Amino acid sequence: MDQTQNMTVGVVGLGEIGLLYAELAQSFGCTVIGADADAYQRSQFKQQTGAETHEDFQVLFERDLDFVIVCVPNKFKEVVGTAALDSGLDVYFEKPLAHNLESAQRIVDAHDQDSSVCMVGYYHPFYDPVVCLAEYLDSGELGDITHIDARFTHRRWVPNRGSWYTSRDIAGGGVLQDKGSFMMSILHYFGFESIETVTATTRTEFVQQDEYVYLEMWGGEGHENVTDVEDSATAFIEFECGTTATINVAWAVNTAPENTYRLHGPEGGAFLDLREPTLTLYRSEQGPPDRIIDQQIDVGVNEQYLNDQFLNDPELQRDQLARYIEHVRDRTQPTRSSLTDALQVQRMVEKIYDAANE
Amino acid sequence: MSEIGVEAADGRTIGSVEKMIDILEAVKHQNGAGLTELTEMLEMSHSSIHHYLLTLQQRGYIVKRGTTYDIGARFLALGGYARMQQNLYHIAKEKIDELSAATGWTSRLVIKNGGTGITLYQAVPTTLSEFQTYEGFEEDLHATAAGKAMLAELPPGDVADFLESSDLTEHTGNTITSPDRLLAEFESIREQDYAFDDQEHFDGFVCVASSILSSDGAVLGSISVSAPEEEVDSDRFCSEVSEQIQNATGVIKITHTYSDWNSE
Repeated sequence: MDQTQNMTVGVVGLGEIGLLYAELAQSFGCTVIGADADAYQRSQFKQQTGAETHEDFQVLFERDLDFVIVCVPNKFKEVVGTAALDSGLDVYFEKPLAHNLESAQRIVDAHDQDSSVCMVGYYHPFYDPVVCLAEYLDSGELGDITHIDARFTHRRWVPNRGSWYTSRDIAGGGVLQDKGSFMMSILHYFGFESIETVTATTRTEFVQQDEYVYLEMWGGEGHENVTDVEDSATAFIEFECGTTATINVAWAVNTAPENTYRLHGPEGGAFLDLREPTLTLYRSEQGPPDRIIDQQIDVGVNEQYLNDQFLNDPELQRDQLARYIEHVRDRTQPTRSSLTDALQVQRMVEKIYDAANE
Repeated sequence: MSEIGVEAADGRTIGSVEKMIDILEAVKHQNGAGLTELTEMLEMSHSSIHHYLLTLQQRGYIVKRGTTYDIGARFLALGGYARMQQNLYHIAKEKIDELSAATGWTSRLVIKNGGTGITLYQAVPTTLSEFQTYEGFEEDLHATAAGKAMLAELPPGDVADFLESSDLTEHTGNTITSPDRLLAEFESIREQDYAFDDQEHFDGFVCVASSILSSDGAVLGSISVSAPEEEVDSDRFCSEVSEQIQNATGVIKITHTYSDWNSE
């Protein structure tokens, strides 16, 4: 990463995610400058990173920046993102791209492929076990997938409860927008993106409880007392290709936590567990003697990815950011987690919301 | 007659302007007034008051019906403009409409102006034919949920100044007029994040309200929802409506923080 040492990165939105990306960029040797309209976030950020901060992102954009990382609340991604794109800057967006499809579309419309290298922080398509499964799917050795069972359920993981994260207006939704978008990004990467029909339900069970019981809260309790989003959702999807999928996503639910993808095909199936990264293939071979094969695929997940044996997100974010920096340096558009990929993910999420609201 | 909270730069004010405002406020207080009535109320001569009124009438700020003088609609031109200048109005208006639609009751956006509260915007459901408040309505902060919600978030020094300077007028039998009881009330408002008005300003009406704070903790205003006391269960009204109000005030707070960005 030697060549990143002289890079200057603008981080807009200095909350938890902004801080995380700033520290990752600093670890690559980049100089970070931050911007946030919230004075408290600026002071916290400055304290943690030692970086120079500004109230107005436009002041930041006038600096000689190599690229910008946008991690403001979802509703404000458009105003910041389009301003950066209009200035011809390279932009890395934290996921989701926006709080709704229209806003995401306007960001994509503002993107000039010739002047700005852009990526959105959907990191799973850069993660080896996911990449590996995608290759098996592409090779056709599982046949045309008939059904996908995807589950991303937390026991108690409402993030920053009461802040913009749990505001329908500002975040554009709850767990479906936050975690469901990750799931859609994986399905999209696997080639399932055009939804024909969807039936869905969203629920708000825990996020509004005065006595919400939890052991850990990402970002801590929020200060705005907004809690009008869903904390779990279930959807049944039929893709245009005929494949069906069941989606279960939850910030909080009283069952064992999971982050799994089960894919059923006529020639074979796959089980991807992202919590303790394992990929298993299920096949059969005609004999004699006939055989049923359960094959554990070891993709050599580096120890650094694991935190108490479970997947450690910041390591994936570090990997993706490193890949993005390569694209910025080489002046090439990414082929994974691009703006148009993220727009399609936003469209999938919105279709599920629409179905739930019917 | 009114507390403005700001003095002219050299500490002096202009007597004739003070007099004019006294006349206007007296006219409003009386819901329109005759010359004799005003002469009795104000320590000014009959002819002096008449000259003021005539001047204001010529400029469209006073209207005369028979022998009664009343506030002219031209003040609405200034008032409407004053409201347009309030960033909070633009940010919060839609939320007030949503709250009224969702609850079925009257929802108001109130700001603190010196020692009183002013209704910047209100949404009244069509099922309610008449309501006591109107846009521009001025209220005693200690006697309403909207006012108490704002007072509870002020720095202690400002609260002490308010309690010192306010008459703490009793509007109903339920109005809290003791400074100590008000301080205890503010404490519990901060604890539960909403204020309740148990018919403290208008008999027969209960309100629940929460303050809108800026990201650095300054009081921007408050949002209240009011309902006829006989039509609601107070406890349920408080718990359900206060949650909806807080969802609105939270969004307004966040939007306010980033509002300079949004207008670019």
